[in-house]
Amino acid sequence: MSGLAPVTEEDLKSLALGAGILGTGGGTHPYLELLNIEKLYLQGRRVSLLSPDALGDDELVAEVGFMGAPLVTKERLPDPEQILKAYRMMERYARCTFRAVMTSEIGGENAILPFFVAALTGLPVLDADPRGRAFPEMQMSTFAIAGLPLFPVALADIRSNEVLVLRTVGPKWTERIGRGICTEAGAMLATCRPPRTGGQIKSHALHGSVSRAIRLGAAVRRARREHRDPADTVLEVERGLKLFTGKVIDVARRTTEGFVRGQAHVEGSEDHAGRLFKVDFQNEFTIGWIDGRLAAVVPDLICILDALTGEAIGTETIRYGQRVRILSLPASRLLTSARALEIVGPRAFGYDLDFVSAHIEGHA
Amino acid sequence: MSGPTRLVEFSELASLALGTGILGTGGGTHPYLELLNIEKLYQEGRSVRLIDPNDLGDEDLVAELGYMGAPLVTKERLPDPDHICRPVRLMAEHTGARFTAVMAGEVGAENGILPFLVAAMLDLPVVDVDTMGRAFPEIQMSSLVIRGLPLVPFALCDVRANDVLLTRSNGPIAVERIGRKICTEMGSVAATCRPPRRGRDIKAHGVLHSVSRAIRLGAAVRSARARHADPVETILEAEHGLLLFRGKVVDVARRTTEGFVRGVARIEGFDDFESREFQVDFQNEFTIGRLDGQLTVMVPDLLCILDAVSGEAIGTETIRYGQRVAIVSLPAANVLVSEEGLNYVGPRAFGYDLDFISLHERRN
Repeated sequence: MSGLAPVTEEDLKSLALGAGILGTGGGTHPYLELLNIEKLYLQGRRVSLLSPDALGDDELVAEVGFMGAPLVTKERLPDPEQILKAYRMMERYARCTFRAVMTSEIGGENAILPFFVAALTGLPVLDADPRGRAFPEMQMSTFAIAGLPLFPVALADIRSNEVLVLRTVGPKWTERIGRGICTEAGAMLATCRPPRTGGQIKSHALHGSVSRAIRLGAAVRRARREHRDPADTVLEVERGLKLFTGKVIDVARRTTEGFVRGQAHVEGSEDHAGRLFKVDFQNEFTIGWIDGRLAAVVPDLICILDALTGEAIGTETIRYGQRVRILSLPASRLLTSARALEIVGPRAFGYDLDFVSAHIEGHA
Repeated sequence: MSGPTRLVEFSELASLALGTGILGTGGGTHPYLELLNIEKLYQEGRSVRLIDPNDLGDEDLVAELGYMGAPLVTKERLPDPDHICRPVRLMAEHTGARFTAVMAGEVGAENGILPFLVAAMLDLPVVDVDTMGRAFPEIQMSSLVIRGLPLVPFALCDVRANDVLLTRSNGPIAVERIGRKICTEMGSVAATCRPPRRGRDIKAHGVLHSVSRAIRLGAAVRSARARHADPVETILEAEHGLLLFRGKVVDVARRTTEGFVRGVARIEGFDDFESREFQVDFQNEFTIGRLDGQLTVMVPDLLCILDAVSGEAIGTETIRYGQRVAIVSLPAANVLVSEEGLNYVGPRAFGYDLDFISLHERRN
């Protein structure tokens, strides 16, 4: 068995939509990245998806993703060559041959980035990721949670600046140093994380993330065609919960230290009339309160969707007047262990809160 | 190793430290802690040899090294020879260069001693050269960069175990910008190594014999002290310098920001300068001096503030109320005052809308 499955142009559209929803506010629907990969497809390039089970234990995978404030990519348009540059730097530095490319996170625009490298190099994209969502900081990854080092990391900006973080005291130091460089480079960098072996991926990555995003996006697209409620459809394919329905009435947002940070208020309607949902964000939505009571806590996913289209609304696009459905999806079990919560739980985001989940069990 | 070398005697180390302090033009003062380090290495049986740059083979590779950061920080975070060797090893590993010698990026202040620490540890000679003939706050302010040599690859290591390598850049100022951010994250001091330099380039573009100049200058001051002669007069004679002012420091405004020590100091005149005032700006080093509001001296000429009695250099991080000082100007190296040189190290490079004027006559 080759473990390879072709990704069609329809799949790409579904992937973009699904990745937007799993982005939990970080990066929204990756429209510009979708245009880029569709253009590469029009030029005759094709990408296949590789099942992690088909990886040899010693085969190496390149993990790629953007680092920075998603807002910036709306002005500074994504360029497949920039992410390829980071990939090539790692290939040269580590003197290795990669078997496949994987995304650093399935949520938001980063879901599409490995497809650029795959389309340009002919490698497959691995059907896995180390987050099952999007997170704002580099060390927030199942690989770091498992204690794997977060070096070497290759960083490339849109000019010709290239930096290798060769060794760090720990994953948080990679984030700290990388973030400083990123901010100086205009709050957006292409990155290639340390080469990961098939063995590491089988033990520590989340399998099936890409096909999950495609399935999710396809369901929403089908619901639209069938004039059904897209948010309900999301809950049919993902074991999630409906948190709130309402209208965005206030947003306080600032781009600072390489992040988009802020808070949004949503006034309830329908079943939630007379109630108020408040959500904090740091690139992604982190904590949600209903009438001042904790309703959803990172690493569970808070997804704010357009009530009509089911399209994800991001921390950089949320604005007054939007009619939204707010869902909570369960985080992967790999993100909710005691060790994991130190890295991706509410305290890692500066909240003096214990993680509580509205979900009975985590996502597999 | 090509060419003859001469042993630097233990007794010369104190002269070197004193001389580099004066040539530091405020950036880092007298490198007392670095002197203790090199004296300790000598006492352990190690020693350092000096080689004339003209005796380097054209293809010999030299490691150009130095601290990047705010000198103030090294007063708390003590210099460690192992730390300073790390970027040199990293550079050798990354480029495959076999270094035959080491050199200072800047001869001024503590960076004038650092190559001696590395040389003693790695058993390599120090080249009697630097790229400034003084100290400067930014890494692109170098005779080699002025003459078009690259600043990448550029290695930075902190006191923990964080190692970063800039492999490509958009130009020398991008290396400074990105490197400064990394350095700031690392705690405002990083040990660095610049790209391997060829003997040919060092001979053509370095500031030659600056190490022996520092030793000679320091020795002259020490001999004046021993003879109870005026050390300031001795410095003026040894270096073709000009006395600008004598007075007492009456005000200092200093802040450590963006990886630099910046500020302004005011000095009230005495002796021949009774009731006059000297004001000096600084960014790690002293940059511009005004006598009664009248511009008198500017970068890249050296503005040295000396203890009026001992001739010891006073640095931007140690200058304080009540100090009795002599202010001296020494001529900058010719390469720095060329048109291309002034683009990098003239007053405009420090944000002043001023044309460079010099008090010194220059011989070619």
